[in-house]
Amino acid sequence: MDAIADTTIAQAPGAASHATEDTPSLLAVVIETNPLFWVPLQQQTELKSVIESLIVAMNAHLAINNSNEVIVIAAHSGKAQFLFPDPNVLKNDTNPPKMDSHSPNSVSNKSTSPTPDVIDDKRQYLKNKNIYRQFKLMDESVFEKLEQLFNDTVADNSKFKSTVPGAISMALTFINRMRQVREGITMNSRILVASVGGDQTMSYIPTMNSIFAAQGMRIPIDVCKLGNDSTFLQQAADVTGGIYLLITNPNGLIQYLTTVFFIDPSIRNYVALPVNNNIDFRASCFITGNIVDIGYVCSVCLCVLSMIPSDKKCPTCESTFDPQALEKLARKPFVKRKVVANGNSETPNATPTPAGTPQPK
Amino acid sequence: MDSDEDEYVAKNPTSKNAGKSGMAKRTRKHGDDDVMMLLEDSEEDPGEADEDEGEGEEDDDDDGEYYGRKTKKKPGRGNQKKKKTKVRIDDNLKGKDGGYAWEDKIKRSWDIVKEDKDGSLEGLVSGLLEANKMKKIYKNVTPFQRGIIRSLILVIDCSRAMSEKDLRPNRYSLTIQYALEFVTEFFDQNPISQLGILGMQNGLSMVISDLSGNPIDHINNLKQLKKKDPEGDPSIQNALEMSRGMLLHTSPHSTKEVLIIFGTLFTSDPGDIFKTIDHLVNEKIRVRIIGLNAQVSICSKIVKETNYGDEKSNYGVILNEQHFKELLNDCITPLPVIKKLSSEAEGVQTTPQQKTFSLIKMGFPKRITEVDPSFCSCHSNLNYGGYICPFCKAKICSLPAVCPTCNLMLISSSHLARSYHHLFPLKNFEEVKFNEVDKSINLESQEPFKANFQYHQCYGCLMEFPVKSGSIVDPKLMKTTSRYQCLDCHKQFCIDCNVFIHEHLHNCPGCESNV
Repeated sequence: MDAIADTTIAQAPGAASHATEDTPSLLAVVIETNPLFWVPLQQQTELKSVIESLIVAMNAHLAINNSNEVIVIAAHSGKAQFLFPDPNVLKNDTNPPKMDSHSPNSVSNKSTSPTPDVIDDKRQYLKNKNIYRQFKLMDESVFEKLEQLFNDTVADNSKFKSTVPGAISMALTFINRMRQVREGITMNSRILVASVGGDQTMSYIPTMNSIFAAQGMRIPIDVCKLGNDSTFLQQAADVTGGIYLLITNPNGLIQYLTTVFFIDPSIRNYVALPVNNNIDFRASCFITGNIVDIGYVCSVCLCVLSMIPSDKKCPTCESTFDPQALEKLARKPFVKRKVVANGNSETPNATPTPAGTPQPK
Repeated sequence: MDSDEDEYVAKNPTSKNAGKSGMAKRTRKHGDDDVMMLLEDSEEDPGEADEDEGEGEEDDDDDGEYYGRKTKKKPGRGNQKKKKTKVRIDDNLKGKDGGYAWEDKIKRSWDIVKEDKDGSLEGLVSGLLEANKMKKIYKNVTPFQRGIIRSLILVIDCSRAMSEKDLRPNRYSLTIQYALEFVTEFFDQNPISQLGILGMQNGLSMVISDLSGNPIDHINNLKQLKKKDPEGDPSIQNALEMSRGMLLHTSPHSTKEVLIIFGTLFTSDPGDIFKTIDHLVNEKIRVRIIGLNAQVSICSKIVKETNYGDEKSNYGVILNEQHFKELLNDCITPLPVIKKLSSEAEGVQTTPQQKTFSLIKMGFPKRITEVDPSFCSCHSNLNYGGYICPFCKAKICSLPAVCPTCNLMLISSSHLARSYHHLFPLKNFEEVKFNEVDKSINLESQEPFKANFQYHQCYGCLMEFPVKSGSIVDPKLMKTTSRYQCLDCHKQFCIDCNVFIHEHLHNCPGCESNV
């Protein structure tokens, strides 16, 4: 009865502040699990402890509001996969994806995935079986799926490309679906990316496309970066209004997660958060790969060049440039030389002697 | 006169209500069928018939002639004969049976509605919805060289005819509302382009918003315009001449485009509009027109001449609000660069090879933050931080901009990245057929069969597909599997994800997670 009363108050026009507090929020977590990227971090931390910290943070997110939801996607080597909600559990649900289901039949629906007994035989994932049901559903699914993922992984050094852009794309398609299914119910969504790989592992255009899609949907992308800085992810956080934080001390990860990343985007304006002001928005040259300050951009394909190509053709789209325009670009600044009356031209670097202000007589 | 009237109507098959009054009156004998030409399937707009009749001079015709009813000399008999022998039928006028479109059997929208065994319409309705969504996302995905850097003049008809209430609340308000959305979307997709807005009123052209790259100015100016009332007659010639003037000083590498939203059926011009068209052709200004009323001959002439003969994709007459929106959205995608400049059909003097490809010098400034505020060089406002021009070290407060000190174009790399999906479009997904997994299913047989699929849920959103593996499918009722497959990674997606991926994301989640 109280619950009903609460919702009526929350929806009343006078209770706007209540409404913002109570708006449920969906947290999409993208974890980069590609083993190759974790090798350089061996000295600092390991995947297991990071997952544990993330699990605590996600449980906290679920606990803070009864209608909050979490989705977890692993960006593994060569594939991105949902860890939670478990695709197999959802399979027999005729309803749209539902993660915080209190209905008891959502577990019994696991027809193709191992039944709870089998899991018990295989491995006990959780120490305490009597934890809060929503925690249990998510934690078990994440551990189980991760284990499957690592068991299936074959050592392959060629899979050095990051699947984070793909995982973000999947998170966006999922959120898009949730928005269509729950028309009329406002739900804040945000994406948290726990990434370890550097820029060179991510393909530029897909990353940018997903960033702009997230921006269009008003979904902030928070980045919890381990290892080295990533310009792409810095831009992702900046463009979408999320937080970018380079974790220098991974042992304290849980602290970062439950303080900085835990704050709901609606109240971020009132909290002093780490700001990242030195984002590099410069582009890199398509030929040399150098970062350019002033460059030349092809008017057809927008590729960035640090110099005028010698064959007067765009290296990407092969359009031939207008020679006149190139000539104009290549022209050096013109210094006008003064011709002195006696015929000797003045040296260009000679500083003109000040004539002096005319004095009043 | 009868056949004259008929021909007049025949010239306007694409317009939504042209000549309705003329057609509705008579029954014409043709072949064995008595064809009642009541145009009952078209969108009805009462109150416009008179206007159509009144402005008969400006009809569409395929010869590019500027003739109206009074100049039609062809005798009625000859006209009939021409049709019987099927000498040449314009593709635009062709119906399904090979004859003219109006000779086809009338198809009523309710004919396709059939109930399934349980008397439910659910399957059919969802099928229709899907077909609609598919239509929206089907795009030509051939990567073209596009003129990414654009200069576009948006011309809005602000004449008396815009106060018509056939669009809600009226044409004028809706047009401005859509224009506002257009401006936002335009700059989102074309961040390094420029836009200017003109209005046509009282036979004059007025500047609503100057050519600039700042969307906020345009939006404010359009909001101001909303308070005014439409009045007087429009003049296309004045609008085009003014657009020419505004586009005169744009850089040579940018495309010059004009988009006219035209709600009237005539134009009251001070001079010879054909001279203006010739000027436009010479200056390579491409004109697109969206008609709110009916197709007008002079508009199609302008569009045809300025777009190298391609009238179809550049001149659209709206059917309803939704279609209006779609036509506007079409203009957001940058136009492909046309290399071949053939204007032999019109006999206009041929112009030399277009030289729009060039390199543009651009600066990528670094963002700074300051403890103490300083003045920006663009607005002379005090602010904390901004961007520093790499060439002259002046402080600018926002990007993209042209440095006020050294005239260098300043942008950030993410602005460039916004345009990349136009240049590298995502491939269309293909619908999965029922017999993909089970080859023994014969789709032609019309017999119910057992469906068999590889995937059970959408890869992007985990939603289960409506048609399940093992369910019995009646091909008469179930036309679609609701599964769409990426041709590269062979992952399957639902229709909503398909739309979202192609409209907003421009990434295939399957391909990106399989690298």
